[in-house]
Amino acid sequence: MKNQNQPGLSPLGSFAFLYLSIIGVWVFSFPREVVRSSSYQGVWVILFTGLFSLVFFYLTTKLTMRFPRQTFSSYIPEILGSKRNRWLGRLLSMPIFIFFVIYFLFVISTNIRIFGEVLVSAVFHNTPLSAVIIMFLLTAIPAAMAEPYLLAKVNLFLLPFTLIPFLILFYAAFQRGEWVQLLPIFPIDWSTISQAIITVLFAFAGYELVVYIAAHYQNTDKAAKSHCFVILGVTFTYVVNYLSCLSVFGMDELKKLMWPPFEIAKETYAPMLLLERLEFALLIVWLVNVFACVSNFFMVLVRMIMDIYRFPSKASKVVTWILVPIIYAMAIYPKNFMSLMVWKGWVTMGHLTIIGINVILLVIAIIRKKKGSIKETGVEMK
Amino acid sequence: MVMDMKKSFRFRGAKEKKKKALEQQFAKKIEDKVGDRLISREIAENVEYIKKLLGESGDLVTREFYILQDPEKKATVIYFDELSEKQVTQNFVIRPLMGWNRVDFDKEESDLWEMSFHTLVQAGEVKVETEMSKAVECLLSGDTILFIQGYAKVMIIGSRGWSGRGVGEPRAEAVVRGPREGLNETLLFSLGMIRRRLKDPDLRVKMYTMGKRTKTLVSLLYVEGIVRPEIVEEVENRLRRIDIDGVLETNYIEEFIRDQTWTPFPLLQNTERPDVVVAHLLEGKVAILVDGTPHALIAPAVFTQFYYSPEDYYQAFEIASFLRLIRVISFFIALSLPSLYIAFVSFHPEMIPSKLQLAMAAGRATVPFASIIEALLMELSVEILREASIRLPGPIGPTIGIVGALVIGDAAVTAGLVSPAMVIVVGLTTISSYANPSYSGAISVRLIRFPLMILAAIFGLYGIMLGFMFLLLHLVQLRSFGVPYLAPYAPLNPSDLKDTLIRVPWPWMNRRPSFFYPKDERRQPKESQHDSLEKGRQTKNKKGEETQ
Repeated sequence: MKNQNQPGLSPLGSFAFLYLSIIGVWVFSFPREVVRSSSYQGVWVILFTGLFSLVFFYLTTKLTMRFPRQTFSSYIPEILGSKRNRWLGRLLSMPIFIFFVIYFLFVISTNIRIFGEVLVSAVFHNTPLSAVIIMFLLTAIPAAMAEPYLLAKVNLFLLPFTLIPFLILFYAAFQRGEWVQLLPIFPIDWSTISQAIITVLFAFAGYELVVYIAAHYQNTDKAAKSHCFVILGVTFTYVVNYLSCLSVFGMDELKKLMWPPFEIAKETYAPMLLLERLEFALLIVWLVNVFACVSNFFMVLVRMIMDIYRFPSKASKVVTWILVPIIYAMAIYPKNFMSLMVWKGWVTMGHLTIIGINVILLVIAIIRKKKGSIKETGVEMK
Repeated sequence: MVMDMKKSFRFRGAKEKKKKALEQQFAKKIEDKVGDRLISREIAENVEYIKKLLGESGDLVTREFYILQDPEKKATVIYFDELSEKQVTQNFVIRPLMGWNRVDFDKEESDLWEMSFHTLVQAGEVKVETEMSKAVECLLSGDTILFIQGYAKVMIIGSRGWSGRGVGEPRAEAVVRGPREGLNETLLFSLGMIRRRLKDPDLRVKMYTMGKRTKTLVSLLYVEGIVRPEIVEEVENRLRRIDIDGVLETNYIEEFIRDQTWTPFPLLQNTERPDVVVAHLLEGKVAILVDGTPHALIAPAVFTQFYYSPEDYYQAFEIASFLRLIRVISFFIALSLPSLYIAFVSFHPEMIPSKLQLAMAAGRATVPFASIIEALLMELSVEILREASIRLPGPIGPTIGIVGALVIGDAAVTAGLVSPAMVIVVGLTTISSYANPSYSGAISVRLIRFPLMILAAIFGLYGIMLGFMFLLLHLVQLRSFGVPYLAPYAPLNPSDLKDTLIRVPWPWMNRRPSFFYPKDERRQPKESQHDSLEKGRQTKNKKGEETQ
């Protein structure tokens, strides 16, 4: 009865899942960081970072497509180990798994912390940060326990709502923006761009989830196309975000603003709407984005741990509840905003490392001619 | 220590024993009393047994008489005074048997039983049984039973007939345009109404008897060829698992067969309207009717369909679509307006336009409570009024409700207990929750409103939004007989969107909703019929022009 509609991720579902995983809380500080690292060449930096990510995302997709219906916790030991000594593969892949777990924990906790910081600085001046964070985490718990395809459905459902902030940004750019602020665009200074790409790359972190989620695709062959659209969509979103902030504030002011999109909403005046001030509306709608991002990462983290230790599916509750205090502690740990930014730097490093790991794994898989077949289902399809 | 453990073991053993005994008692109550007892040749013995079994009930009628005025041929008729149609028993059983219109009867050659069965008893529905349990069951359902001396069997004459309510208008699901007939407490009447609307030989009606003591008739309806067989199978399986002493309403069954117990949302739809039942059967669903209640259960259900009124299909599609939009808006108002009020007043006053904010602040100046207390007070009193107005006798009910709300609201504002804005909020919320065509859907919204208000009081809009996320996660996980509860939105299927927020005209609705996995997907041939109709109309017009 339960298996009647093939419960996997459709291409649209995987698009929503990955898109929302990438666009998390990073959007808030993104324009500032772009301007700081690349001065007037922001658009090029974003576009090139998008291109860069596209290439690596494609390579990661290639890797997952070699092992359809298998999560990385089953194919990494296969790539590294040999058929005789299965334990060797598991032993060699253990450090990678541990790295993944730590990286995911970092992503989740930084996301929650940054969103909490934004909330506290914007509205809840008297509410303790920990209360905001706990509330967020508690809501994410049922998401973490959910089946992957159900969470993809939630993502798909939320996707239209996440476009609302961009409507506000568009509106603001038309109302208060000036074309002159966007200039100059040329000449292209390659050395600045190449350095800036490394800094901006953090905003594209999130498509790593594909190494787990690809196992749950209905159709692995169509994955590459929807993945391309993910990166295109994300790049477009960031460009819109950046350009509208730049057109409203100009370069010099943008460098000093903490959360530029948020400031834009403050500047905007919408007499037609029922609401007088839009900034908190923007923030609340953005909550949807952050929530989707955090719950996606959280769910994959839980599933990953269960896969690695081969827990039965009932254990997801236990694993989730064990992880909650850890994430909370990590989210609350950075003493102030500066140390939080250091953590964010680590996330970027982690992202780069994971890109590297995936590429190396792909190369090894190609050299050793390791390939999974559909018959060998690593994941039990539910 | 060891002693304690032993004791506890012994204690547990005793508990187990008691539990077992209770179980046995439950099983014994009904079935074992009669058991496999067969009917005796002696009338007196049978009658005595039945009388004793039914505890010498005052409403049990036993009539002893001689067949064809022959004192050697004793017979007895037993029936319940209030359950059976006395006309049938008297005119077509007792009178011919007693030989009012005397027939020639060759005493030696004919068998008395065969004779009575084939000629004398003139009722339409007669069957012969040899088990006492069957006889008692039929007697309790309103049939008349006939014993004849010397025969170890019983004749059961269908004479069920009791006074029921006439066909009335469904009170909870009124429509402006559309049939006004409602289902009836008597199952057979209801089935008749459905059969009359759906003259399909594929309509299947399966009967069950449920309730160890009530022996309630329950019927399962579906259209074979449309409905997915797995759904029928699953419903049947779940129905078979029910083992309870009484089934008085469909909710007894609903709570047994729904997929998940802990959810405020209704996982099965119920309706009082035969036309709605037929419409759902045609979408590939299953209906469950229970004798004794006019409410039919429909399974599987999806969330959005609780916001569809039967009238949507009886009215012009533009109007229907507009009304659906109104209902969606009213859903959100009923769900979140009080919590939004709390959030805006206590956390984000800067978001509302300043003039309104000033006015609201002026209204709230005299209010001594926090906004959450104010809102809870008002919401609770409205809920009390609502509950009271249902119990209030007849025509006074709604009047008292309105007067109560107006008077109390006005007095509370004048006394400075609540702000005028709060009264507006509560009024809008209450009215909006009545815009929901389904009572079970509306009541779940009423329930969820309160946690949302508390969340809003603690975290403002942030809390409300997190509450919505939680609700969404919950809704996505719900299933009704294998059908995703948020269909057709959450697993998105473009062809199903024709009958969602907007309803397209009937000629365009070629397919049945795909999320019920119907075997027969098409409602009508693909546009061809429509096209030919259009063409026909055009040619007619042309001809008309030519003749003119």
